[in-house]
Formats: sequence, structure tokens, C-alpha cells
Amino acid sequence: MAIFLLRRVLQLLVVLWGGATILLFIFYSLPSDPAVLLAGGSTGRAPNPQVVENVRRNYGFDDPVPVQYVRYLGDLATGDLGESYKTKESVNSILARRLPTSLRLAFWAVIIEAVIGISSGMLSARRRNSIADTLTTSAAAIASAIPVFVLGVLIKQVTSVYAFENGWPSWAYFPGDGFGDDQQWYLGVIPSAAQAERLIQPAIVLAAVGTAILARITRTSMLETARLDHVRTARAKGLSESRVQRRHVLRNAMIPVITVLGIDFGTMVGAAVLTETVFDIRGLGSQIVQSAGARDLPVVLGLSMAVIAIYGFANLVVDMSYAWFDPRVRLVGRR
Amino acid sequence: MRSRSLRAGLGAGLLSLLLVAAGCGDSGEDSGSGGGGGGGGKGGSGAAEELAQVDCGELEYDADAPSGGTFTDYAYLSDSGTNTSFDPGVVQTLSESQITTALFDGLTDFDFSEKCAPELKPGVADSFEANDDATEFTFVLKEGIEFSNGDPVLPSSFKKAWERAGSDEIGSAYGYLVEFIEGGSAVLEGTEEELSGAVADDEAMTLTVTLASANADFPAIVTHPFFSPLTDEDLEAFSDETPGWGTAGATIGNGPFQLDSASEDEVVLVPNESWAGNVYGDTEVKLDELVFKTTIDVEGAYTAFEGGEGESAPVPPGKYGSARDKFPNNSIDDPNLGTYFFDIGTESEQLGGDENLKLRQAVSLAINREEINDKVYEGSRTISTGITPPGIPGFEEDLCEFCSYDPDKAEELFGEWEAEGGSLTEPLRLDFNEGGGHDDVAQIIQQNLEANLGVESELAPVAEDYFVQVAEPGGCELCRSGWYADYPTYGNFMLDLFGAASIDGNNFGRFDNPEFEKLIADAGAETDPTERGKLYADAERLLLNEEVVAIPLNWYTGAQVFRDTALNIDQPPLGIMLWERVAVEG
Repeated sequence: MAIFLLRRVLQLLVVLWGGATILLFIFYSLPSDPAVLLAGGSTGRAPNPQVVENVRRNYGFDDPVPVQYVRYLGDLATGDLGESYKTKESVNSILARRLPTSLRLAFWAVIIEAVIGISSGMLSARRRNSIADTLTTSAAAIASAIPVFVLGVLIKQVTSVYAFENGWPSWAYFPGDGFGDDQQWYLGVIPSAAQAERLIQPAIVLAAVGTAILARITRTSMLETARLDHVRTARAKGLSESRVQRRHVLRNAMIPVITVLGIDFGTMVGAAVLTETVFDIRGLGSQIVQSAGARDLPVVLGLSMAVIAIYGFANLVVDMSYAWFDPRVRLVGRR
Repeated sequence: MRSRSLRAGLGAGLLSLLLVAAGCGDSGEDSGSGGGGGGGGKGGSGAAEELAQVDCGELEYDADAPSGGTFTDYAYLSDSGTNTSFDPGVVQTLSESQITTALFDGLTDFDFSEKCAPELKPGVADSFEANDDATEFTFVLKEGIEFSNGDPVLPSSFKKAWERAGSDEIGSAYGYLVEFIEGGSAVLEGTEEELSGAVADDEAMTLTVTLASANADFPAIVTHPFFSPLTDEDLEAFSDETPGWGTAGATIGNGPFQLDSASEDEVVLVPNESWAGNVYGDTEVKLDELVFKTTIDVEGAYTAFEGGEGESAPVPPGKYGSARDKFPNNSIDDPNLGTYFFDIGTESEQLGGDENLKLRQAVSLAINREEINDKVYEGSRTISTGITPPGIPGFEEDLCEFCSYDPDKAEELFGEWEAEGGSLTEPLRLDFNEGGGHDDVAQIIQQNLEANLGVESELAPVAEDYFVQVAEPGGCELCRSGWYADYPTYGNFMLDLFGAASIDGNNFGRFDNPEFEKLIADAGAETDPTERGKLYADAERLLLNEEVVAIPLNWYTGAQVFRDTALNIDQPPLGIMLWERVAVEG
């Protein structure tokens, strides 16, 4: 187990180094010059050449790329993610502010995805070819077909704009402008009632596609598992159907489901750009996209490193959970 | 080009050079910062009423509007991706300038009571005057004015702030403004720390400024936030590197408001009890609290407003029509000091030169500006009759002879050009930056040229660094440009956009005409505002009618909606709200 963990941590470090290197060199190969943008080129005018030169010198853009690369890796190794070219805020500080928001949103989206996706998948599998199966399968197909952006805008228009314009009762009105200024969370992730009003819409939107996919995967996985010999044996031994389903079908069918959930969580933390944009939530994804547009390299790199680390951690947890779901799985460093 | 002109260091060339990019392009969004131009005192451009040729109405203000309450603004910081800093030395966007101008007052300011006849008045300065050739200005400051922290506002507060804002360490996008002043180039290049052309006498309360070259508009130029005063406290804290957002930059000001808090999500201002008042005679702020909300994008801000949040919001592109109907309290039809046009590359073999003058005239007459305004901007903009918009002292209506849509005349001129041996060997290239509706504009122009002249053109969108690429030799054949005034002076449009020293800068067409240069140089040195306005108008006539090197399309208007409870939200054409006057009902 310890060797397994060590091996995975080392793998993650290599992935982080690779990610930093690739992102850095992609940035350097872009046609756009960050010095030009910082010198005023982003506000629709030709920047002054002397100002561009000053910016280039002040920010170290005139150093050779390998020098900048080594400098960045050195800072990264000490945990210093640098500071934003644009706002001069430390990237560590941006990360400290944005990461909890992304984690909370992803956490609740995954909860919704797991509860609704797995239960509807189970229902579908156990009542195969029934009306319930048809309904859940159709709903899953529709949910996975609607683009997140469209779903978000529609929900916001109805529960925020339409509700306000038509004087809906307060319980039916949901503010659509982010998590608010005075956020209240208990134990880090449990929202207060007021906070829940601001969480529920984006969490549902973010979870929508994943929920649909998870329902399909759960259904397929359970149906496949149900056909396996050990399930037939369990039934032959006289176990009740609910016990067969719970202990021998569901548990074995969970491995692909857990894999998807783990990947989804990692993705939601760093790539919930559309949901964050529609609901004005200041998470990692929207910040990375904005910073990439502004060629704010330290922010893009620093936050991307965090996303990669979280993704890697989520996968590690998933791998470790395999052993719990299926005792035949053993976590070893090397076969 | 800038460096070349600096070496030349003479006359209008240098003057123009110093102004390179002083304004803002537009990109269809916000840009630049506030200020104003005009005059007052000897050498200023006062008596603006003599120059105003149009009536945009009076600035609406209800002095009896209730005091107190919180005004939450979603309009201005509605795209947090563009926010950088509202430190006066580095502020770049019109949005962030809303905060800066609420925090800081300059030596002079504009009275926009007559919206299109702005009058420059002393602000922190008690008076100002120029020498006979407009190369030296003396500002006498009022006694007893304080920053919000209680420090006195002294002449040295300005001088040191200018030196800091223009320094190479700060790397301000507007750093070049310091080059108006003698010794400014050395400060910008980092070879000198002290601005030799500015002499501050804190005992006599005078600030004497010697310019690098004559510029009668200097008292108007110092309305730009770049020329705001700073406290020693902020100078000490924020002079080593480029300042950042919120409290990572200078915020202690002498304006109507002071900073209460600043975060990624919002900036909160409260009244500055030490405020000395504005040029309108107001001495008290109406609001208890002014909150600027940041949102991830414009759409989000507008939807939040539709959902009942805040007192103001931006109108996203494509929603002007519905917003105008839905929210009658809006600024969609209010004039702004911005202009949208296409430059013609004077070095283009197909369009440049005297031999192609009739082709340029025909192209300009063949473009249907109404169609562009209706289809792209939902009729929200004003069809322009020149480059310089109304509200600029010296503005003349219907100055351009080739800016109306006249397909018959266009065809006739095109025929004459062909009869004289003119022919196009390849499609005309329409250069523009992607997004912001510019591609739609270019497509309409393409269709107009094909339908009215039979001229083929190709669309040449640029995704990155458009304003650098288009400024390079050969970068512009028929290229999109735009400008938002930094201060309401004619020179801010003529020098920055068409002066020879702005070649490689914002003079994308690389227009270089000795007669034009003489006119703008004479205008810069002319201390009589009426005569100065006439000289600039003559220069614009030359470039639009005799040379036809630019194709004006429209002038900008506002793009905000307000709650019915928002009062005194009528804004001057420069686009900066008079936040001290804004009030909320109930």
C-alpha cells in the first residue's frame, strides 16, 4: 500500500512537471505578446513602444525562454506560484480563494450526480424494459444532449429573471449572481439556507450531463454484472433478490461507476467554465480561461497545476476505492 | 516611429509622437480613461460655448434628489477579465476609471452642464495660465485641500505622482503621457527619476510645467487620471513596480469618495468627508455607499440586473433594442466621445496615392452606414459626419463630404476613376480584429462594395494583437479603427490618429501629409480656443475631403440601463459618471 501511494505521488509529480512544461511552451509559442497586452494592447489601441519595452524588462519577458522556464520551475518547487501579471495578486492567494469555491461546487454536483445517477441507473436496470426504464433512459439521453451553457441560461432565466419579473414567491426565486458576498458554509461544504439558494442551480447544471451518463453506466454495468456466474450462484444458493442485487450485483457494478465519478469530480473542479460563467461563480475554471485570454501566464500555470494535482488525487482515491468495492483488487507498487 | 520622432524632437512631430495612443481604441468595448479637454485661463480652451456647433442638451441633475442609500453598479466592472487596476497612474479602462475618478480629483476638470460644450474649469487648481507660446503652464493650487487621510494636497503631490506614473518601473500603459512634459522622455526611459519640466513650490502653492513642445490643450490633458495627485503614503508603497487591483495600488485620493474595501467581487466606496467639491459647485456626495460589482462577463451582469440585482447594468451586444424597451431609464442613446471608422492605407498600391483619390471617395460613398448601425448595433449609434464626435470643442457638423451613402455618386466616381486608367488587380483587403461585431461590419462593407461598385473585397480578420499588426507597414489596406477620447480635445483625435508621429502607433493608414502636419502643429500652439478649433477642423476637412484617408462610420453612445429608482444618472459624453451626484430613491 505504501509503495503504491509513493509510486502514485511520484507519477503525479512527473505529470505536474510535464503539464507545467507543456503549458509554458505552448504559451511561448503563441503569436500574442503578453508585454503588448500589458502595455495597453488589450484595450483596443496600439501600445507605446517605450512602454512595451519597460513592461518587457519589468516582467522579465526579455530573458531567454530557458531562463524563464528554469526560474518558474524553481519557484514552483518552493511552492511559490508567482503573481498575476495583471492584478499583481499572488497566485497562491488566488488559488486559496478560488479553490474552495470550485471544490464546493464540484462536491455538490458529484453528490447530485451520484444520488440521482446511480439510483435511476439501478431502477432502470432492475426494471429493465419497464416504463420506469424507458423514462429514466429517455431523461438521461435528453439531459446529456442539452449543452451545459444552454441549460444554465434557461434555468437562470426562469428562476431568476422570470421569477423576479413576475413576482414569484421568494422560495421560487434564485439569485443568479454567484455565491454571494457573505458566504456561509458549515464544515466547509454544508451551505446555510441562504447559501443553498445560490448553490442549487449551478450544482444541478454542472451535474446534469454527468448524471445522465452515470445513470447509463450504472444500468449497463448492473445488467452485465447480473449475468455473471457468481450472481447466478448466489441466487442458486437461495439468497433473496434484494440481497443478491445489493451484495453481488451493485457492489461489483460500482467499479466503472466510481471511476466515472472520480474523473467527473476532477474535471468539475477545473473545467466548470460554462457553469461558472453563467452563474458568475468565481471558481478555478473561469479564472483559468480569463487569464489565458489575458496571457496571464503565472495564473494559468499555477491554477492548472492545482487542477492537475486535484485530478491526480481524485484518481488516486478512485483507485484505492477499488479494493473496497472488490476485495480481489490489491494495491501494489509493481506487478 | 515613436523613437524616430523622439530623435527628431521637433515641433508637431514630437507633439504628435507624445500623443501616440493617448486615447483608446475601442474594440467595441470599453477603453481608456476619463479626463476632458477644453480650456480655461489663458491658453486654455475655455469659452467652449463659442465653439460648440451642436446642442446635445443639458446635463440633467436634480439637486433635491434624496441623500443616503447604496447604489450597486453592475455596469462598469462587468467583465472582470479586463480589470487590472484603478490606481490613477496605471488605470487603462473606462470601467476602472469610474472608480479612479470617484477617488481622485485633478488640477482641472470639465463642466459638462452643456453636454456638447464642455468647459474646462480649475479643480484642485485655483487658477492656471500659459505663456504666450503655450509651452509653459503655471497652476496655482487652492489652499486647504486634503486627501481622505488628512494629508494636504500640494503641488509636489502632483509632481511626484507624475514622476512615479511615468517611470519605467511602473510600466504604465499611459506612461507616455509624461512625455508631454520636458524631461518626461528620460523618466519614461528610466534614465532620470525627476521630471525636470515640473517645478513644485509647496509654499507658494504653484506648479510650473514646461512642456516638451507647445500644446495649448495641456490644462485639458491634465484632467486625465494619470495626472492625479498622490499621498506620500501611497508613493512610498507603490512606486517600485506596477500596481495591481484594489489595495495593491494607490487609493488614497482627494475625490468625492474614498475606498472602503476592495475584493475580487466588489469595490465599495464611501463618501470622503474631506472632499473639497467639484466644478459644478457640489460639495457633498448623495450616496452613503457606492458598490461596484465585478462579474465574469457582460451577459451575466445584465441577467443579474434583469433578475433584480443592483441599480445599473451594461447592455450586452445584441440586446440594445430589447433593453431600451424594457428599461426606459438607460443611456443607450446618449452620445459618447468615441468614433468608429475605417482607415485607408495610404501606402496601399490599390487605394493610396493621388491617382486613387476617386476610388477612395467612391468606396466611402458606397458604404451604407445606416445598414451597419441597424444590423450590427440595433440603431444604437449615431451615424457620423466626421471623425471627431460632437462634444469636442471645435466640432463641426457635416464636415465630411464623402460620409453619406450615395451609391449613384459612388458609381459615377468609380467610373471616372476607371476611365482615368484605374483598375483593381486583386480584391481589397478588409482588416479587422475578430469579435465585437467588427466581422459583421466588414461583411456589410464587403456586400456594399460588391453591390454598388462591383468591387471585390476579402475579409482579413486578426485574432491576436490586431492593434500591433495593423500598425505595421502594409498592415492596413482598409482597416478597422476606433477611438475613445481620453479628454475632450480635438487634438486627441487628430494627432493620435492621423499625425505623422503616430505612424507605427494608432495612425494605421500611415497618413503623412505636410499640410496636415502644419495645421495640427499650428493648432497645438494656438492659444485662442476658437482659432484652435478652426485649425483642427481644417485639418480634418483635409484628411476626409481632400485626401479621403479615413471612412467614418459612427459615433459611440452609452450602453447602460438603470433601475427606475436610480437618480441623477445622466452622464457626460466622456462616459464617466458623476458619482457624487448619483442618488437612489427609497
